[in-house]
Amino acid sequence: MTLAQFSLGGLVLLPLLAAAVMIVLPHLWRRILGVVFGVLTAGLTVPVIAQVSASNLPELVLGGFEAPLGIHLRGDGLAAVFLGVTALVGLVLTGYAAVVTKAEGSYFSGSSWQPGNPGFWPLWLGCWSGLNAVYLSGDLFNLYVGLELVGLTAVALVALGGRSSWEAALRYLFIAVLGSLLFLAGVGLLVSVTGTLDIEQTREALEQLDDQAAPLLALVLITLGLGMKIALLPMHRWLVPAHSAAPSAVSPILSGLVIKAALVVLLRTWLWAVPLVQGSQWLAWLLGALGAAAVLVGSVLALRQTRLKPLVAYSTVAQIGYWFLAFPLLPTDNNDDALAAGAFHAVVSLAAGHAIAKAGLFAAAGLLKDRCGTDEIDALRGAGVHQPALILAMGMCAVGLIGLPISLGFTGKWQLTTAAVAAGHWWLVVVIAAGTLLTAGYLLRGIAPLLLAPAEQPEDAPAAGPVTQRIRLGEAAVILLGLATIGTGLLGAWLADLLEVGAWW
Amino acid sequence: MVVTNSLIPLLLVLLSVAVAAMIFPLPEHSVKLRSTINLGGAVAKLVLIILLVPPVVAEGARPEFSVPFLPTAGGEAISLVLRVDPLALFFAGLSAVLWLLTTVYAIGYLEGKPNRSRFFGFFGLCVAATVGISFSGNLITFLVFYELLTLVTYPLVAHWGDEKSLNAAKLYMRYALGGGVAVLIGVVWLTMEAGAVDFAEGGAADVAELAARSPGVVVLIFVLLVGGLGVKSALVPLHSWLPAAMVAPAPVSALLHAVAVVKAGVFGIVRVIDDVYGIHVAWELGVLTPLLVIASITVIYGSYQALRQSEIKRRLAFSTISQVSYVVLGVTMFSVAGTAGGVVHLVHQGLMKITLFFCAGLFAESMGAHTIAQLRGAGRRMPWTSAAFTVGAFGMIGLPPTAGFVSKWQLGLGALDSPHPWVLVVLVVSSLLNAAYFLPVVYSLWFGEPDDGERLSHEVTSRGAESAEAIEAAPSRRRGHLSKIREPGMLLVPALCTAGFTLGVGLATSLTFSPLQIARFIAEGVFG
Repeated sequence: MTLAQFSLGGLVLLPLLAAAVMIVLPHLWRRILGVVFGVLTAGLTVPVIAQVSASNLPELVLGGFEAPLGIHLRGDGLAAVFLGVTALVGLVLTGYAAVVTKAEGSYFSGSSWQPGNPGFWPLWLGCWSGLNAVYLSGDLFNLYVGLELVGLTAVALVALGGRSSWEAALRYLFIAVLGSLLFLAGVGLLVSVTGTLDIEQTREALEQLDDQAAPLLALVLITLGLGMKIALLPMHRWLVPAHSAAPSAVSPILSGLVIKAALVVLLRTWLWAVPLVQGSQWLAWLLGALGAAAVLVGSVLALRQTRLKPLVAYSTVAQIGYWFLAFPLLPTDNNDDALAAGAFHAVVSLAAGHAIAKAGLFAAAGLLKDRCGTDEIDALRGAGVHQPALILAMGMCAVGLIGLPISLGFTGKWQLTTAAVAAGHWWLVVVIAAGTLLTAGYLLRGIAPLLLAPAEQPEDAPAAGPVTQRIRLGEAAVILLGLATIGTGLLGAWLADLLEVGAWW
Repeated sequence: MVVTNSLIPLLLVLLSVAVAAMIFPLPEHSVKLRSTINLGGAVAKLVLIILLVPPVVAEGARPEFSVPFLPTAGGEAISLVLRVDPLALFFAGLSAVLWLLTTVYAIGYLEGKPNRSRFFGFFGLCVAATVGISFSGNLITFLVFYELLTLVTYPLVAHWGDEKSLNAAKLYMRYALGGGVAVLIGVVWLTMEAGAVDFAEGGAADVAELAARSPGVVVLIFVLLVGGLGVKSALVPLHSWLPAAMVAPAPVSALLHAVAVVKAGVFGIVRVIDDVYGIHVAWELGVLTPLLVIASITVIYGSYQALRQSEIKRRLAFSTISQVSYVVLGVTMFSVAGTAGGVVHLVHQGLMKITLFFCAGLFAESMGAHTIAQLRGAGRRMPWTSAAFTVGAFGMIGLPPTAGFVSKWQLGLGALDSPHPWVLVVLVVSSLLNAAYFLPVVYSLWFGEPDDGERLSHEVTSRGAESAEAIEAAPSRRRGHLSKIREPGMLLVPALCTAGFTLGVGLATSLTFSPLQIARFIAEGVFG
């Protein structure tokens, strides 16, 4: 077993193991172990990325069962990119949760709610394990298992926010389960015609198949299910309450990483497993149209928010739209691989950039909310006077979300625009431009008041707490994510090379 | 030679970033350390740029740094390219000189005021963006720094944090980002059609080829690019953010008007016309004449509006709108002398305008004078400031032997050489208007009878956040005498320096590396 193979297994099993061990430990130990295992898990991504960037495809068959039944882990470019992003964001958020007690949620003790819920740690590491499983899965069933693990832990993480978050968590649970079921139904349909769960074998079998009706129906079911889990407009209603009611360390995990898992599954199915069945063109166009609607509607709704966390959550709804804008460019009639590759790179760059920038922005919003006791934008006026570095970091994250250079958001929008122009779809350019301006508008609306001189507070307003040493450390996490937003902007060309490894074409 | 190492352009950009990164975390009260870092960075940059002048201008060295940035569908990635060429050095030199002086000025100006670490941090980033803009070797790199400049100037404009600053900053942001999107679309489109476009003397070959193939598209791209750049360069009708942005602290206004934002816009226009399209291609496409007309309108309109303002800073703002368009005027009139005049005005306008803003800040800080009426008799109370202001104003009017005279003379020669001799009329009318709005100020400075001191001192105390000097000086004015007001050295010296430069470059036009000679050299390169 090579180091890379060991790492593949470790990426999935190590955090799961840690989560299991933690359940019997007291809170402090969970925190310490959480950080230790976070570092180890992040460290394990390095050999995998190194292997993939050397154009190798590390594979591991768990338990010795070969395909079509076995558990098959496979590292390729797509997996490597998201493993890397998850390691980066996950590590920073682990540190953030470890130092900011309130970020872990709250628990009911005796007669009142106390900050810091020890349940956070096993759930988060379980979620991380599920994320890695989704990225690395070589078969459709394990994609489902990973997705389910991510979904259920995410629901539980939302519920850590206390009584006010339970309704949102319940709603999220329904959507998550329904989405997974639809995905599973689609997978079942595929197995019934191909007889295999392995992604590569599915593709080969489908290419031989004459009747495309079943795969098309499967694709529709899978897309619908995953669309729910990603929260593509008009299936976005669950996201805003869930992401804004979640504890400060959970919102960034949800917006930054959890919805990316569903996106990766969608890309795996669309591009690897089901080779662009005939008649899927209309579905791609439908997704493109919904994406455009999401960009515009999500941004306008974000503009109308009066609270910071819902504003950031609606921004996620809008950003999700960009990923779907690229779908009409993926299956092309004339088999223009360069064009499809450009669109695919765009989706990955945008999603990776969003993961980092949105995690940073949500972590910052959480910090402000926990300190000031509210996230009403008017009440936060002047909050930046005590935390200038935090505002600067939020600005850097905003750069990534708006898509200004230097950031992966810019790289992604650039790739999307060039692909759209090359394909002659000018309306996409208009949507991208409008979305960019709207994004700048709502982020400015959210961040600018923090720079204002503090307003006169009404008497009954909750008093903002002092900026403690722990909050300063939490700020450092946000600053790291802000710097990463800018720094990863220089990696665009490298990412494109990485994605070539094990690509479907 | 060491200074022509390929890492030099990167180093020059990172130098200012490093200064910013060191300053941000500094506590408010560590004034000495902050000032040392600031001045150290500014001096180091200036020295490096001076060392670069002889090899680049005389020996033709072109230090270049590049790193792959954006993947393309075709395979070869588009790079971020930083390259030092004479035009780049010209603009970077201006920014280096003015950064040093503005830093000195700002240290004095902001003494004892809040949020200085934030201010100087963003100030450093702003300069880094400007240097990046000047050294950009292709449109993508230019775009990157152009957007960066928008972002980092926002907190500077909004520095005071009151409602008015925020609104002005918001207006600025809207205009600048809107323009940025237009430029972005233009750049994407051009890259799609012609591949990654490197700046090249005399224009890029790919663009010329494309222009021959589909002139309509190329014209449209030109409109997008110049329209977007026109926002920052405040071409009419895209100018209204500029007078509003006057609420910023005086050093910011000075930097914005003289070298950073407005100049980045016109510098971009110069690059697009001369180094992307090539002046001959642009001329054949017929895009220069409409732009020349717009620039002429801007020159006249800006002067006319300036005449109507009673506030000093607003008058200067409209004057900037007018003066900056001289650059566009020069590069679009299609003659070697005209291009040289336009390019040299990049530097000359910067020197003169920054002098005027330094002085306006001095008047406001020391006398509490914000309107032109309040300047009456200031010449006897603040002689040095008034002298510097007078030099700047004479420069703007174009009186010899100032820098402004050299620009206007060169532009006039260019107009006569060009297919558009009528531009000379624009120059003359504009000069008359300049005289009409600057001479009364100069007259009232030196020969006006001052108001009674009572009202002025009231203004001073009511403004609240005044420098120690002003409060110290207030009692003497309260007595109503024409007593002198101490002009704080940190503010005065930079103003005197730039006033000196304004005279110096006007007198020393024939020296080897004078701005005019370099501008002529650049213009000859442009016309091939």
